[in-house]
Amino acid sequence: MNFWEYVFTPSFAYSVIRVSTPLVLATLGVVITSKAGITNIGMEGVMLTSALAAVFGSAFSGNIWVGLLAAILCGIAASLLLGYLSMQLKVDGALACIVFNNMAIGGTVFAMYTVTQDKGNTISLHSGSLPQIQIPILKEIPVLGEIFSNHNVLSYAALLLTVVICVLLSKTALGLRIQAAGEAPQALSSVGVDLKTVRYTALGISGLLGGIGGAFMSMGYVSWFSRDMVAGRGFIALAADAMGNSNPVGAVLSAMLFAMAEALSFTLQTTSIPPELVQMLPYLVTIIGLITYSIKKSRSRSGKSIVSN
Amino acid sequence: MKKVVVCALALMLLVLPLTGCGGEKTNDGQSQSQAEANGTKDAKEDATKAIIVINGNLGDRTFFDAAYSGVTRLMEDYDNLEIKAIETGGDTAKWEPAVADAAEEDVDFVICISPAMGDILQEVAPQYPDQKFLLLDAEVDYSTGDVDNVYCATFAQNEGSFLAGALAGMISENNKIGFVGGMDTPSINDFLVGYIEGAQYVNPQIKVVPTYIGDYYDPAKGKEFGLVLADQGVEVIFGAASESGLGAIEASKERKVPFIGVDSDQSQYFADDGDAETAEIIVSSMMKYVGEGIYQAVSMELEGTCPYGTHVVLGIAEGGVGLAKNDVYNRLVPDEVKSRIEEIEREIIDGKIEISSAIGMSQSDLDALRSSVAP
Repeated sequence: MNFWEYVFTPSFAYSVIRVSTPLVLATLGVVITSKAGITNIGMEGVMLTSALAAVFGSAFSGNIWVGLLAAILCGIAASLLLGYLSMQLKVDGALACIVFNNMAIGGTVFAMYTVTQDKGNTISLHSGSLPQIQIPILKEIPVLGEIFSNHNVLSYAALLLTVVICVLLSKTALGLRIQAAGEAPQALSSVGVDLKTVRYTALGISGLLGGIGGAFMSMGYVSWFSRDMVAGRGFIALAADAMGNSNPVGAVLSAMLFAMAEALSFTLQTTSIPPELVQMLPYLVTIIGLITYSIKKSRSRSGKSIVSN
Repeated sequence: MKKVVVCALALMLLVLPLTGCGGEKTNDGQSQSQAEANGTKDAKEDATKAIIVINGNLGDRTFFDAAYSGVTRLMEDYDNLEIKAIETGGDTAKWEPAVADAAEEDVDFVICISPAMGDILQEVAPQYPDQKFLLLDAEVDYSTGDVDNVYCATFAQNEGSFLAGALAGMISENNKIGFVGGMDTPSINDFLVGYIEGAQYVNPQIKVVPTYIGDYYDPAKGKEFGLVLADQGVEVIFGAASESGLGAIEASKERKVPFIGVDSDQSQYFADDGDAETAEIIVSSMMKYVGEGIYQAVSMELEGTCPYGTHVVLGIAEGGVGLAKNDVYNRLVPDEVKSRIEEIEREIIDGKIEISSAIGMSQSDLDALRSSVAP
């Protein structure tokens, strides 16, 4: 089999959607905060704590949806805590996030050990996972059905939320306020809108998205929590946000590009291409993406300067 | 003022969970502070004290847990022995200082395990010539350094993996089996080399698909690799990838592809947690009896017969490696396969089978071996 036979398969496209789900959710969360003028480095920690909350929620209630709810609430609380630290208590934003991320790694292990006497994972809790959904009619269509049907419910949620966030940001008053909070905070205050309230709202929505992303890690991908299982996905979301210029569609597409590169690096390993080369792919794509982005940006900047001259 | 308070609080929050874990690490059930409170007046004044450096975390359900089971057994069997575990986590930068700290403590010997510790002890051991080190699953180079205070025992994981490969080669019907490794390193490839040769030994037509996750702590990625292998149509997966490997097990459960675990009886771990479905999919595990290795080494040390300055290889004959023959294995593996495995075990013990090792193997030889079984 050659290269293309591996890539042009429904199962490859299917795996791209699966791999991209946590990235897309995290990216949307980062986009909405960066629109509001906050660089949300804490997404990694938000996802990690939510992933554990999802497991605890569903294990102790016996209901997977309570697990999802717990993850969302935990994500929102964690995100608001970050806001409280940086806005109310004036801690440097980046520092607060770094502290929070470190705390999340140690804290989740501590909480996990307290509950399960196990520092590695929560397999013993049997927390279950969220269902995969068969889409009627679509699932009957040969190739498309294989690609788009039978995904985890949160993968569809990610798709839906992308649309919701786009509409929210461009069509609603709240969205415009969030954008103003990032671009011209003074203008916002001058029309009597409280900047902090807007930023807290953006952080809350970001936490909700991160919470769902975390729940996907521990209740979608696998059915348990394990130490540091988010493994940098929150940081990849930051890169996707930068590459997409904080535009939700652009950022989500960037996230999907990363996901595709990653899925490709899984699939190509089974070919005779050396694994070191294949593992490099996601990083290579990131670098190429960032270069493209910066070229585009510098061109548009020089374009502007011509106009203003 | 407020900022200072907040920073202090945040620091406390950061440190508290860590010290919380620290307190739990003393393994005889006492918390650290209790042990200190009992202090010098304690009856265990003349007890032999030791530290085991866990350069990862306990609770991995494989390597470190297996190692720790040996420590637990030792402390049950020897009254005057106290072994404290230090867990460093996955941050490689912390490993060398942790070993140095352990060597500086008032202990009689220090136990280090896992391949990464070889290079570290090569550096650290000469700095503490009066301290004794028991090194398992790694070796130091006695010819270059002043490391005569180190005893090393390695496990012939290629021999154990040979059995895993033979098992996989016999139970797959389409002659296609897969491998999930943590990283493309000699110590992981040692599993692969044994696995390939074992499979070829029983089944010359066998095709082996090797994959490397590139991360020991990303179960989601591990699951992706398990799924990719299942998509490729492999009929058995052998996984050597620590926490990430648990994700591959999840994938093999989903796709009903038999899995061969690694280092300790992974089926048993899942069975103990009440997850029978997953326990059933793990037909066997390539056991690395790290716990047994530690038990042997420490017993020798306590009896004063530990040959410091030498390197011992624990293979199938020495009880260092083997296949887990649990309920699942006995129930699911056909009798003729089981007897063939036993036959191969004997042949290995008698030295009738020569098994290559990836440690010290040239890249081109490794590539040649990998491509000889590429589908």
